[in-house]
Amino acid sequence: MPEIDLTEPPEDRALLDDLGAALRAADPAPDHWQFAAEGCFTWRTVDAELAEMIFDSTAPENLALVRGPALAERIVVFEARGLRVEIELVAVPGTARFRVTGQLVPEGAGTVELRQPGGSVVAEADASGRFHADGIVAGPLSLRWSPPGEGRPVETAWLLV
Amino acid sequence: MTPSAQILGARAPTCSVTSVATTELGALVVAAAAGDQHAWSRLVARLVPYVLAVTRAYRMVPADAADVNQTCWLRLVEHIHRIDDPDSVASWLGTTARRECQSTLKRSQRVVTLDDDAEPQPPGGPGPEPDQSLLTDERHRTLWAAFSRLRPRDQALLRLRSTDPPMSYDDIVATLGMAKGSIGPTLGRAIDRLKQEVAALGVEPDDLRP
Repeated sequence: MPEIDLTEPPEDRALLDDLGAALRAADPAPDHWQFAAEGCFTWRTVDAELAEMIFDSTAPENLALVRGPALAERIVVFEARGLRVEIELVAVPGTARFRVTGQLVPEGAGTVELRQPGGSVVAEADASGRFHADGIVAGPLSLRWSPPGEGRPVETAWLLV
Repeated sequence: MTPSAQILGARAPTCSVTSVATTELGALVVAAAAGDQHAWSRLVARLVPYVLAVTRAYRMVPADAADVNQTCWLRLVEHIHRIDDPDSVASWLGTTARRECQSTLKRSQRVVTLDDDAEPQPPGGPGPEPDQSLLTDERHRTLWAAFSRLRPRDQALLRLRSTDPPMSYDDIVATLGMAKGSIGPTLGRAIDRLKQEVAALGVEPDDLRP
C-alpha cells in the first residue's frame, strides 16, 4: 500500500494559505467571540481540584441508544478523587432557563456555586447533599463547592448547557 | 526550540508535567498557564478562527456556535496548566469544539449533512453576510467570491485545511467523517474547483499569486 502523502504540493499549500487569509478577512468570527474568549481568562484558578465529567446522558454515544423525545432532562456526573456531584438539568417550559437538581457525594451540607459567564447562582446543599438551583441559562456552566475536610475547593469541568 | 519557550517552560509554576513548547503557539500556552493575560489574548486572536472553522463544518446556528466557542476557551483555561503538549493546542481546541458541536447537534436533534450533491450555499450558513468593505485586498476578494460558489463539502474541507495551523488529516477524519486516504485527492479536486471559479470570475489563477 502506498504511503499517504499528507502534505499538499507547494503551490496548493500557497493557495490554501492565501485562502485562509481571505476567509479570516471576509468571514471572521463575530467580535463578541473574541471578547468572550479573552474574558475566559478571568476564570483561571490554580487552587481548585478539577472534577472531570464522567457521564453525560446526552453524549452522542449514549444518545445513540435513545429514540424519541427523551431529551427533556439531562443527567451529568463529575468526579475528582472520589468527590462527586451528580446533576439533573431540566428545561423549564416556556422559558429559556433550566432547573438544576444536584447531589453531592459524599453527602453533606455545603454551599454550591453554579457559575456561568453571565453570573453565578448559589445553592445550599442540605445534610443529605441535595441541592436545587433555578435560573440557569443556556451556555457554559461549572459548579464549585468545598467538601468538608478537604483543603481545596472542587470545580467541575465546564459543561455546555 | 526558541530560547523564550525554554524560559517560559521552566517558569510555569503550576505545571505538574514539565511542559516544553517548541512553537510560537506552544510558548503562548505555557506563558498563559503561568498567568500571562497578554499571551492568552494572542492565543485567542490566533485560534478563534480555528474554532470557527469547526463550527462552520457543522453548520452550527450562530447562538450555538458562540456557546461552543466560549465553552472551548473555558475548557482551555481549566486545562491550560495540565496540557501535556502545548504545541498541539490547536488540535486540542479543535477536538473540544468538535465534541461540543456534535453534542449540541445531537441534543437539538438537528441532523447535519454535507451532501456532495448539495447546492452551493453562502459559506457563513445562517449567519450575517460578511462586510465586503473589509476586503481591501483584491486577491482575497476574488478568492472569497470563488469560495462562496463552491459546494458546502468543498467549503468545509478547504476551510479546515486553510486554518493557521492547518487542521491535521487525523482531525479532519474525525470532523468530516472522511476516510483518511481520500482527503488528499478530495482536497485536490476542491482546489481545482476553486481555481475554476476563480477563472470564471475572469481572473487567471496564476494572477492570484502575490
